[in-house]
Order: sequence, then structure tokens, then C-alpha cells
Amino acid sequence: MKRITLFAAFVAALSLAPVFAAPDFEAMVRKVEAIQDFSGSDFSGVFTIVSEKPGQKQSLTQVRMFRRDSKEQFLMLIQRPEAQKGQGYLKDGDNVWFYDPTSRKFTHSSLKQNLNDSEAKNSDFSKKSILEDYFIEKTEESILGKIPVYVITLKAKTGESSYNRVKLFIHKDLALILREEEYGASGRLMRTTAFTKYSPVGNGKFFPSQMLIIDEINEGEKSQVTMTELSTERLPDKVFTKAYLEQVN
Amino acid sequence: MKVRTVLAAALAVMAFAGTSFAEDLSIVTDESALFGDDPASIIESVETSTAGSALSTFLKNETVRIGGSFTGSVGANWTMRDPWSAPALDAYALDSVASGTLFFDARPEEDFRVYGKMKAAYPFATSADSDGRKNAVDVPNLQVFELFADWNWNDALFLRFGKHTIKWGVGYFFSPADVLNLSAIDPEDPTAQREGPVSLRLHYSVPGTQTNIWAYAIMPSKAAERDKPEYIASAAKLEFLLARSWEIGLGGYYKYDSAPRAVLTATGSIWKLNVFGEAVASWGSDKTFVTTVSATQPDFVITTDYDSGVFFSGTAGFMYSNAEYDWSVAAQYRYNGEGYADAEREARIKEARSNETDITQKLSAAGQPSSAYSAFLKGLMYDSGRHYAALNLSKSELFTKNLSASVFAIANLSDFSGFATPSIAYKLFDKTSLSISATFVFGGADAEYVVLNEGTALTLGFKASLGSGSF
Repeated sequence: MKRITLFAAFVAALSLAPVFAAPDFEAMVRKVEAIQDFSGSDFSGVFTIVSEKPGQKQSLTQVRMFRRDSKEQFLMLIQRPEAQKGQGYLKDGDNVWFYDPTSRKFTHSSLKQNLNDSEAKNSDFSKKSILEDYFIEKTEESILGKIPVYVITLKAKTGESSYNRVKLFIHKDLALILREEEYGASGRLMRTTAFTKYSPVGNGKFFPSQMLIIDEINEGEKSQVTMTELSTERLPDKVFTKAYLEQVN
Repeated sequence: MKVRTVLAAALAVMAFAGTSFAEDLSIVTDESALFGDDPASIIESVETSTAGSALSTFLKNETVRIGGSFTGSVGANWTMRDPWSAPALDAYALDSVASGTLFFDARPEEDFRVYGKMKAAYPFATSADSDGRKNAVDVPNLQVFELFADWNWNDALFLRFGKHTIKWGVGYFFSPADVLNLSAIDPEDPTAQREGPVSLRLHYSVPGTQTNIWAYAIMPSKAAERDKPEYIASAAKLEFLLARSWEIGLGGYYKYDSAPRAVLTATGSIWKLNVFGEAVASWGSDKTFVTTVSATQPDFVITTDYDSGVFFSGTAGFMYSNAEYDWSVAAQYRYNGEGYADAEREARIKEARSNETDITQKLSAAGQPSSAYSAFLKGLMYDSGRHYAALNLSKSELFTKNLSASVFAIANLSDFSGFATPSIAYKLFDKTSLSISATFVFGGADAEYVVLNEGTALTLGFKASLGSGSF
């Protein structure tokens, strides 16, 4: 019952039906971004990631994230597994520092590179709008499970974008991405992400609280991401500094 | 692309997925189950927390955290010094590694922390002559690698005192700027933690910026200087952001009776490359330069020191990784301002060769082993060039998921010598892998790496990594 109430409130608040009656897909993409923009407040929460790889036991990773969109800042601290506890990322604008407490090194990189050895690109964290890096190449309608969706295919404007093509599957009644597909320069599908749950965090903002990430290159590799302990309380400025990152590690 | 920040954060974290196992959770991938016909199922409120209390959990802990790592491997290698004209097995060796680290991290108060790290390695005790006398003593192969305390003043000035690694330069294979740590980067193991000195560090983070000021007072580490306050070295560095995505560092280093240095570092990106560079200018040099090699001299060399004049060193490199095809590359060039000019270096080698017989005889007469001349020549040649470069190219998931390959190469570009090591590794299962490698030394007869390796050697290696991991 609670779910239905939340859903109804969400739809009413956004008054999406008129917006999407004659779809303006650029406006739709902007709306999708606006709903997850926390520029007016800070944000923190815990990610729990359960990963599966063929022939291996499931692994669990837990990270606490502190985020301040207004200044394009975030801090991520690894909590589990114990062996990696203390590693963290600090982002400020286009800059990302990875801190490894074992080597006591801050490694600085910018948004053009892959983040450390992960699948994530630094540009994934950028505050830039999707439409600054991509243009809408194609739109269509489809069904995801049993939910009607718009499928927007985005093509990179330059070779510097993280992906050559991105497909967004957007709920027809809600400005929420349900599925995202990313394609490399070769046209190969590299990653599929399903956003299966969203949590309201006030002021008409929603945060994806459960995701399924499928590595399309390595068959059988997938991860489920769950977000808990959400908070939009104001964080101290010191959180987004090298000093704090080192202090807690 | 703001909308994907959460996703990106999750992906970044997944790179660390390690040994903490989940309780058999079933990951559902079926779309009809994920996106049923109830649109309300997408929206679900989750629990909230107080961010403030989350902050304090990182800074204070009722218990002392204990952790560490274990590295285990068994390897063997076979070397031919002159495989191309006189192939014969000249040397072979077994290398058994059982080493570990153990650390504690105590945080009794939010503003106070004590950290210590010990290292031990097989053989766990080594015999050493006591002051040259006949009686050998067993010395445990155990080392206090780090021991320091962190505290702060008003959450503004962060202090650390004790023995700890100092992050100073930005180079990957080489870091001419870093004269603070006790050891240089090992280009064959560039990410390994280096041993730092005992020092007091002050760190001030300028509020509202990513500008940081670091200042150090470094206690003397040499036995002869340890009780003399005038040998306390000082260093300071200012780090700031420039043009959105470049981090610049400006620093200085001073120690009594040593060459003072000014340092400039930069990291940023060009295209998709992670680029880094260091420039160092010193007034005078701490290096002793050999001006003549002669068998008539007591140590077979005449040397000179430079207390004045500017010596410039620098380095620049880049790193790139491609997630789509699972490969990465790191390359770096180094200009060694304290190296010899080509003509000088060649002259010293020529002198060493022309005096070889006399020097060897004198070393032998002094009771030195037959390898003493070779060691003398290696000492003369080591790091004598002005231009160096290193490269590492690696590819994971080569043909099959568990197979990876890499090539590491390092070269003295002044005399075009170096070595290249291609290797292939296969992961049998978690914490167990096998690798084979071949190291090819190249260059002229009197070139640095040929002398250091006693020929254009070929070394074939095999290694089994057994049970390495962190806890």
C-alpha cells in the first residue's frame, strides 16, 4: 500500500502526463536528470553490491558515499571487504583522486579516463548534461517487462565520450530510467543496467535504490546494487577534502 | 552525465570486490520479474540515517582494527649470459617468497589515531657477522615499516608524526622529485609501498578549495646523523588545481650539507591519457661524480663533488586503460640531470676497461672475490645515463578469461641498452596462478644494462603465486 501511495504522489507531483503527451525527448532527458539532481542539498548513503562471476563465490562490497552536487563533489569510502577498507575516491569538479591507504598514495585523474581499474568512467560522474555529450539519434516505443517505455538512442558528439552510443529506456509515465545500455566504439554492447527501484528523498527528487548491472562483455558477470541509509542532511565541508579522506583511512 | 553518478559509483566500487562473501543471494535478471505490470513497484522508500553519526563511525572505534597481507610464491629462473653466440646455462635460482605485513589501527578518539605496520619475510632470520668478528648472530627478518600518530588542531591543521611513507612525487616508474622516502620506486614493482623516514608532517587544507599545503620535518635516518639536529631536513609543498583538471604541485626541500631542491609536479589529462610530470632543480648535487678511473688510485677512481650550479632532472609519462578490450599501458621518460654526458661516460668505461687487469689484480691481492671488478664496473655504470624510459603494456582476458599477458621494458636511451620482459599468467583458481616470463637484455657490450646483467642475457622464469591476499 505504501508503494502505491508513493507512486501516486510521485505522478501527481510531477504532472508528467501532459509533458509526455507529445513527447519532447530532449525535455524528457532533462527531466530524467533533474529528478536526480541534488544540487540544493547534500546526500549520503550506503551502497551494498553483490557481484557474481562464473566459477566464483558471490562477493559483497559496501561503500559509503557522501555527495554534494552543488559543488560537483563526492567522497566514497570502502567499508567492506575488510581488506579494501580505507580505500576511497574524492571528486571535485573534473578531478578525481583515488586514495590507497596501503601505498599512502593519492592518484589524481580527470574525467576523461576510466576510474582506476573499474568499469566506471570518470565522466560517468560528471555533472554535465547528457545532451552536452550526446545527441538524440533515434526514439521509439517499447515494452520492458510489462511496462511501456520510450527508448531513446543517444549518439556521442565526439570521440571523447565514455561510450559511442547509449540507449535509455524511460518509463512512459515517469521520468525515470528503467534500463540503460552502453555501446563501445565498435558497436559492441558493453554494459546493461536495470534501475529496478527508486526511493523518494524529498523535494520531488528520487534516487535509484536498487540496480542490476550486467557486464555484457564477460558472460555471467553481474552485480546487484542496493542503496540504504539515505540522508539529505547537510554535511561538513571538511568531508570533501584530501585531509578527511586520509584521516578516516 | 549526472544521471549515472550512482551507477558509476557502484561500478567503481565493484573494482574492489574482494573476499567478503555475500550470503547466497539470488540475483534476478528476468525482465518480467524486474519490471512487472505494477508500476508502483518501481517506487520504494528506503530507511534513512543521520549523516553526522556516519561520519563519526569512521573516526572513532572502540576496538583496534587488525589487518595485513600475505604474499606467497615459488619461482625459479634460468639465465644464459650470452644466449645468442654461446648458449649455455650460466646460472639458475630458486626463489621462495613467504612474506607478510601486519598492521593495527587504533582510534580511541575522533581526533586521535595510532597506526603501526610490521613486515616479515622468509627467511625469518638471517645470520650476520657481529662487527666483522667470527661470531655470527641471528637477526630476525622483521621490520617496523610504519608507526605514527595522527591528530589535528581545530579540524584545520592535521598533524602526523612517526615513521610513515611520504607521498611527494607523481611519477609512476621514476620519481626524481622524491628524495624524501628512504627508497626509490622499483620500476618493476611501481605500486609497492615505499619505506618512509621518521618525520613530522603538517597538512593544511585551504577551506572551500582543493588547495593543500604540506610541510615536513624529516629526522635524519643515517646512523652518523641521527643525533645531530642540524641534519633535520625540511620540505614543503603547495598543491592546487589549475584549468579545472590539472593538479599542480610546487615544493622545496632543504637539508644541511645536501643540495637544496625545488620541485614542480603536474597531473592531468590529454585526450584520454592520464598524464603526469615532474621537474626538479637542485643547487649542486649530492652525487659524487667520477672524473677518472685509474688503477693507481686507492679506490680506482678520482671523483669530484658539485656544491653549486643548477642540476635539472625531469620526467613525464602517461597511463591509459581500455575497459572495452581489457588492456592498459603506462609509459614514462626520465631525464637524469645527474647522469654523465655521453662522451664522459664512454671515457670512464674506456678507462675502466684499459685498467681492468691492474684493478682485478689489486682487488685479488686485497682478498676480494673474483667478482669484485664486475661489481666495481656495475657501480660505475648504474644510473649513469641521462635519458631513460620505461613501459608496461598489459592485456587481461587474453583469449580466455583467466589468461593475461604483459610486457615490461626499461631502457637507458643514452646508450640504447635495457631489458624487456614479456610474461603470461594463468589464474588456475582464486589465489592460485602460474606465470612464465622471459627477460631479454639488449645493448652494446659496454652499455649499462648489459654490464648490470653481465651480458646480453636471456632469463627464463617460472612462478607460482600461492595464497597471496589481504585480510
